[in-house]
Amino acid sequence: MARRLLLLGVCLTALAGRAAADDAADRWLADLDRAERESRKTGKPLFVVFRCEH
Amino acid sequence: MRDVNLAKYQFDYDLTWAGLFVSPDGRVLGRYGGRDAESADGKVSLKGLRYAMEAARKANRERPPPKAAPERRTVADYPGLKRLGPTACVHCHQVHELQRDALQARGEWGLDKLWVYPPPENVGLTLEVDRGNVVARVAPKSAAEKAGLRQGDVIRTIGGEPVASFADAQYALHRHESNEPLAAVWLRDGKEMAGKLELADGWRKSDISWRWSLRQLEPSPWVHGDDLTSQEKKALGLGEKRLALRQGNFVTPPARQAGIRQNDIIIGVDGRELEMTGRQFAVYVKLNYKVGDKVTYNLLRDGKRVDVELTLAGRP
Repeated sequence: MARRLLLLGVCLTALAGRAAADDAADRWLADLDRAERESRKTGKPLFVVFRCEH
Repeated sequence: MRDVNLAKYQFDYDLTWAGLFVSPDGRVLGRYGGRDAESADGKVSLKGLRYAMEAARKANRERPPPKAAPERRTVADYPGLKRLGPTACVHCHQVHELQRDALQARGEWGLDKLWVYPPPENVGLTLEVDRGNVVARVAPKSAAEKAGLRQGDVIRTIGGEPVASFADAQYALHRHESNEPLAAVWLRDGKEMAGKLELADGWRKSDISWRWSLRQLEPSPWVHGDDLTSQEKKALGLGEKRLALRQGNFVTPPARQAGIRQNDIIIGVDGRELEMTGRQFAVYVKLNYKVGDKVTYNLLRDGKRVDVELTLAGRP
């Protein structure tokens, strides 16, 4: 059976009218609590990705 | 998923990929991902993701302040977590399993609870992949058609939930657990329109055979393997859609005890000729039988029909 992994990726993004990947300030975080704190602090929404590999 | 707040991060936990847009004050603005039985990625695209992101951005700007502190619920609240062990990784699909366990423990479980996150096609709506709330097609005589929806309409809300993606539509339908009419609001030529989706019995049902969370649901069919190809079926005189599951090289103890052998081809059960895949057959058994039932598997062995009686034993 293939090894199962759960990956959590959180992207803090300004969503300022351009693709998130184009903005140097956008970055992926792997700590949901930290991302939520930064979101509250900066006022930026989060894009939270859950990945489960079977 | 061990420490994830499930009260906030609600999505179809059988998915291998799901995205949620979340406001700084912790509200989910929208969801992306979602699938049906046909394909894991047939309902998603990068354009569709961008479309949903722009909708989330707009919703974030326009959102009113929250009314109450968000609730918190994690897998630790489910008694079934104990059987996974204190340090075991909890996979997404196991959340559905833990929820099922909890319902069973409270006596609230029923098979109807299996049909989670119904696809919008269940109410007659096919949505565009690149613009996830634009109606690509309305099925004739469907709830959507009777409500007044047409191709090209832009869905605003279903059941009061905003819709910008297939996943949003699924979430809105998932939250509606009854057959009561479901309100829909949409735009047509810039004008807002509204209607009610009249829902028939069983409206939530769809092909759920792809769901990983069903694998532990009892009873197990105790047979498994690959479907025959179209050519193989034809060579045996079987129709294209006919069930034809070739037992793999590992024969489970209950199947072995019943006399099932590697390479036996399961084509039916209790004399019923079934039109389905092997994966769908596993769910068929779970939906129609109980642990302890005796079933007769109808097989082909070396080209000859053989019937084998098997007891659907519980898992050890």
